[in-house]
Amino acid sequence: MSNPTPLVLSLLAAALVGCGSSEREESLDPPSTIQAPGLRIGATSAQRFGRMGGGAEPGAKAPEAQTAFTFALPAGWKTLPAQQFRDVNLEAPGGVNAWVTLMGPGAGGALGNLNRWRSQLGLAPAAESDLAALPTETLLGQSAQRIDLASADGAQRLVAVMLFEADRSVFVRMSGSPEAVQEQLPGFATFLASLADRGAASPSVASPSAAGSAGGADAASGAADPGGAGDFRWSTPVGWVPVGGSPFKLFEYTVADGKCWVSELAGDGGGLAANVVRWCGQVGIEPMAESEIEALPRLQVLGQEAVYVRLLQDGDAPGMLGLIIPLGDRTLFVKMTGASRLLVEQSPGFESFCRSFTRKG
Amino acid sequence: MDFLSGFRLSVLILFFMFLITWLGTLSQVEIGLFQSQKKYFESWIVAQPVYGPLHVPLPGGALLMAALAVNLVLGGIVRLRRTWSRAGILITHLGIALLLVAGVVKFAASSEGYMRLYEGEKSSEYVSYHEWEVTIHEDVGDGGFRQWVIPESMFVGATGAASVTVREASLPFELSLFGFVGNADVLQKGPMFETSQPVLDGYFVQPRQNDKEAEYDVAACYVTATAPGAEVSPRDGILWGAARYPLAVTVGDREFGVSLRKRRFPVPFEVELAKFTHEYHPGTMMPRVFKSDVLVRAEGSQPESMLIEMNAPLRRDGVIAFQSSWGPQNAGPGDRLFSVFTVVENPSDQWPLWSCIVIGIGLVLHFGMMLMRYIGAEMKSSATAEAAR
Amino acid sequence: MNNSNWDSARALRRACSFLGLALAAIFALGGTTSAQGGHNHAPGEFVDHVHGSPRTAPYDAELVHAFRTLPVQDGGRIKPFESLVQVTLLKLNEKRSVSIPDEPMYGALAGVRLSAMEWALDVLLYPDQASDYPVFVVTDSEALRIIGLSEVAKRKRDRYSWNELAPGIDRLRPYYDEYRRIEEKDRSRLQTQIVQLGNDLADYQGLQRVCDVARARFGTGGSSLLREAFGEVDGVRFSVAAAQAGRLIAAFRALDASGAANGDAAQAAEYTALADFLGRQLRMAQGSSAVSWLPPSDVETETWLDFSGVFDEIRADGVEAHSAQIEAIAKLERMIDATGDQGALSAAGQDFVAHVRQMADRRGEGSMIDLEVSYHEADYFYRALQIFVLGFLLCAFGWLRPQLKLLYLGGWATSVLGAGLVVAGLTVRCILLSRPPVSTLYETIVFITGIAVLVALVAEAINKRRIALSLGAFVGALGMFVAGAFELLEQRDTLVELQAVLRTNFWLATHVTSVTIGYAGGLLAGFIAHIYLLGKLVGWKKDSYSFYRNIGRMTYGVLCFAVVFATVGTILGGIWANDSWGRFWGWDPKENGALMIVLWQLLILHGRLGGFWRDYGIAMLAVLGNIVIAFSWFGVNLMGVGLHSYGFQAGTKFWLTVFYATQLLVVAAGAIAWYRDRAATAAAQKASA
Repeated sequence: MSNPTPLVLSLLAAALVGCGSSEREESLDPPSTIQAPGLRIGATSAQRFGRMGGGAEPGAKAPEAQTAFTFALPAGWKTLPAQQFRDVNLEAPGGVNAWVTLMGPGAGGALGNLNRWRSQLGLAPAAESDLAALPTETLLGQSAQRIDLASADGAQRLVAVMLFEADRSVFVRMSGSPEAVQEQLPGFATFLASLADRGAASPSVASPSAAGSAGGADAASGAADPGGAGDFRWSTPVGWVPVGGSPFKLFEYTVADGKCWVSELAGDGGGLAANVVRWCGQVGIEPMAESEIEALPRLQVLGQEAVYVRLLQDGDAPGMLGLIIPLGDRTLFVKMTGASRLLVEQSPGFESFCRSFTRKG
Repeated sequence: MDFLSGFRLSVLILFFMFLITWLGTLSQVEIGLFQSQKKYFESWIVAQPVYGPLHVPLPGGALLMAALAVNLVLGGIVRLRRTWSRAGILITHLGIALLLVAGVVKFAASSEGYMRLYEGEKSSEYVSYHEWEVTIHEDVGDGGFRQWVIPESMFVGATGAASVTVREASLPFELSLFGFVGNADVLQKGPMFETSQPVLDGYFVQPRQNDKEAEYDVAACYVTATAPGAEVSPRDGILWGAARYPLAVTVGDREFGVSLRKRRFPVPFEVELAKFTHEYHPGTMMPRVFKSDVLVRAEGSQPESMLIEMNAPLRRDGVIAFQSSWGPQNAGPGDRLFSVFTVVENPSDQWPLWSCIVIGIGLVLHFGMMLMRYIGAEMKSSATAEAAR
Repeated sequence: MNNSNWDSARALRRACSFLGLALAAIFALGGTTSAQGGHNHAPGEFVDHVHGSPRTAPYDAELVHAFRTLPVQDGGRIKPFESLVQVTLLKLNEKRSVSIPDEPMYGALAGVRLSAMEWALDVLLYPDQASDYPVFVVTDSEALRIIGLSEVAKRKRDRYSWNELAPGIDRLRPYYDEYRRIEEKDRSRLQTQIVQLGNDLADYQGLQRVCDVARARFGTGGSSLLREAFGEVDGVRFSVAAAQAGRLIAAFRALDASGAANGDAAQAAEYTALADFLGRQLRMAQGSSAVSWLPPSDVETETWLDFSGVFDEIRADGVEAHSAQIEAIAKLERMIDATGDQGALSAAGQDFVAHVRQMADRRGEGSMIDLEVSYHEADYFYRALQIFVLGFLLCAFGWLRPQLKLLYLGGWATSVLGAGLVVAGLTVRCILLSRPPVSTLYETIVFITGIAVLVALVAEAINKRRIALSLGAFVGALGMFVAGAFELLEQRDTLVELQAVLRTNFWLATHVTSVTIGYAGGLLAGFIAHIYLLGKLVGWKKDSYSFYRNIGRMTYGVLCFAVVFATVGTILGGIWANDSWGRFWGWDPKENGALMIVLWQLLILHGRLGGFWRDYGIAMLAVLGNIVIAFSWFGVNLMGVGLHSYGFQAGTKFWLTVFYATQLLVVAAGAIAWYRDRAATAAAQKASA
């Protein structure tokens, strides 16, 4: 049961120190010597506080991360520490790099990713019709699309396989000099064939009885129905409560005390700068300068460079997260409003929500 | 004295304990167990919100326990008339007094934390659930580090601008801690953030509301290192419980790593997790058994193989290790698993058992005698009734 | 599960995607395969199951009994099919039987009342016919609107049939998918209804499809390999195909490895046909996987198999090891084929059940099946309810006619019999589950009632004033009624396995029983106090000082009994917690609830010793104690926090509130009586002065 000791101690401490005292001095015990093989000193702030990795590890050995996949390592290949967007990170002989990226459903779409790689290689964007011509390849037991590109200057070759499933997207890519890549193609094929979901070897762990009662009306097909409205589909983050559409909003969610909605305007929707400045006004903060607007971060959504606006203040003051997705003939807006505290909390959900956008059909 | 030992006080204490327990239970929905425990059960006075800004002061758990101890000892033991008919009551009260002592001893002298081991891993320390410490490490080569520890009790007041400065003879610098926050994020300062907190190297401490599950709180604080006559770089830094690496502080040509972390407690032996087993009820996801086979090595003795499972902890050298949980949650067959033990050092560990036996004997004795008297009286009265008929 | 097994599953998945046969499409809930029946087909084509004529004659009683005792694995234990079926029907229908309306569309069955097992057999064997049975309770009008049935004018408690609900499933699904992600305790009434309806439909559909595999005939297509294996037949039965599965899978793998699908056209066709053939069986088996009723051959394996499990196992370990399972399926197929003739059906059905029981026997499982079926048949607690009601009536008449000794004896006899039934029922449960009878909320209701009745009987034996006896019968009836209502609210098998931390018979037997005995004593004291307060209010026996004196002493005595067990039980709980979680006391809501009971009872006792209250006060406080106990027993579980919150029901909340309110009313009534008494005494004193 309880007892007053902690309180007595803290009262004593307060009495000793005196309430007004703001500077106290203490003497430490002398040091001890310990063995701590994992301890590394000498990291940057980004490495210390970064959420997603934020750069290479300062020490030699990275902590052994549990990835979502198992695989067989082809001869001569090495594993590197996982990084942001490199859930499995590999190095093949001849300076060839290969990695696996696991993302949410949609993840920029097939065309968006294809064109991202094409632009990295200095190639002109491909059209929707080019997608259908891509050869297929088996990845994780599913039919996936294979991409094989050489850079405009002929110095680089990129081979990639992308798989879009209801609940995730998986990308496997290998790149390097054309000769080296050619040499590693058999290894890459072995790797692809061996890649499997961790834990997938026990499909029956999800028990029949659990699926029968808890699994619900369509226990067998499993995947939850993703959300969507207009021409778009997306997956709804956990805890978001759908409200529905209205004449001005394609769809709206309630997120705790805040809300998030998707709307669509013809053309450029009034222009980037005008919208951002107007939003600043709505939240009640100083309008951004043109240069600041230019410097706003970009997210890849629906294959487009979408502008990500974060207007946040302290604590419960109103804030706003906004994403402006230019789609040529029209502009898609995703906005979330509410207390800044909430938005800070919800921003990962907001970002994954935005990334999950795909076109219908 | 009469009041302190009297029934009036007993009834008042019992009533308020009842009330506090009830309010403290209900409040857990809102503020979680840890906070409600602090507010209601480990406090002297509770300000209970009634309506809007109206608060009513109530005696807190600590005050009530103290009063109970006084009332119980004076009224229930010291001044209790020594007759055979009260023997049961005396025994019961002694048992409860023992229970209270066990509670005090536990709070004053116990520590609690967890030890997480992957199969094949070993450890001889456990990590506190709630308590923090700041450590300073200096590399001495071969994986060895010199370690200074600043326990949380030393920097407990270092919130806001108030600071605590620590020093030690062999440490070439002084470290001031301030701006300690029990639960915080460390965020990158973007162009749109306005913050009153100091921004260091583009980062600042963003306080957060305490989590309902207190062990999820992540503390943060600011530190300033000063060394008269030596170059210190950086002078100022942020410590955060979830930081992946220590803050590197260079003083002259020596380098130190400063970290804020959950307090570590050493145990006098080493535990190695040999194998973790978990079973489900067949065809369901309901756990049936989980248990850990461990090897325990004390200095200078043979390793012993032991089993820790639900309801069967490991007790050794005053340390008790309980099977608590396991992971990783998404592990597939054949994956390496880890097991989590709750580790407790509590000198009064078994005292409640003794007190329970004492109380049980006392109650049965007392009420058994009462029942006998009652039955006797009833027999007599029904016999009288029969006779009268 | 080993790797090769998974590999072959992947190969099949790949084959399916290669053929453009998305698995999900087959499982789309809406247009169920069983709704479309025996259409014409060309030989070699995929054949849907063959639908026989509807059932016109009643089942042979022996068949029904045999299926009651069919062992299945569910909720982590081996139980009779009867237990599973009863709970399923209870969930849908809120009753354990089905009343077929007396309408022409039901043909020979119009106006018949089906037992749970008869209903289940109809769903398994005559799914088309059973789809018209009104068995779904949907009370929420908004839920009905969502599913598109608001225009079907029915009264509130009327049932809906599968055929009425099925067309609305696609409309229900988005709501269902959304609401079931909400935590149970946060769901609104409508959300709860929708999730429940979705689950009910899924459960029903699961049962409806269980025999599909046994009904199906798989066409061999144009494959020469298949024709060679099975001959020129009009569809191959699952058991026949399963017996050849090892060979076929080897052939499929060989074709797969040689890259046939990308090369030679004839080989590609063969590959396609084979993938199609195997894939259809896999999908069919997966659709028929709601019941795990086939014991595995490997004694080490604890998980029983459903049809897709058998399919997986055969693919993994070959046919030979699984001949018993294949035999079982063949027997089920023979049973399905006999649905036109009740005599033949009964023989085939009993043969199937006997075979499965034998398989279970060989593993040393299913020995409790007959006991459990007899437990259901004996229906101890419902019988006890009836007997307690009778006993209470006898006691009540006894108060009107005190000279009739026979009524008193009758009251004694019935109460003892009722208590005996409760004890017997609890004992059987102990044997079935090999653990003490108090570990779920349901069990605590029955156990606490039993203890309260026994304590009342002991009190009656001591003071022989009929009060305790009448109250015992009343409390017994009330408790058994609450137990039945709770089972209906909870809608699950009350015989459940426990999770790891609770699996300790020592602590269940010591801590849980003593705490619940404390609950029982406290409640009984509270109910005795009811008589005191309400009697005083209405002026019953108002001249008998000794009557109320007696009730007062009884309240006090029972409270003393309660406080012993509550105190010891609470401390034992702490010791258990210290052993399993490492702390004696953690201020967890359930712990606090137990502490509150102890504190309240100690408060009453110490206040009495201090002379702050006497009979009136003790009675009122004891009634308030009922609220404390109810809060600790059920209330804290509704809070949804803490280590002990293992049960939650929306309906519980309502009834709990009603209980609190009635107890407060009784206290208020007592306060009025007390005030009146005091005024009267004062007036009398004044007059005498």
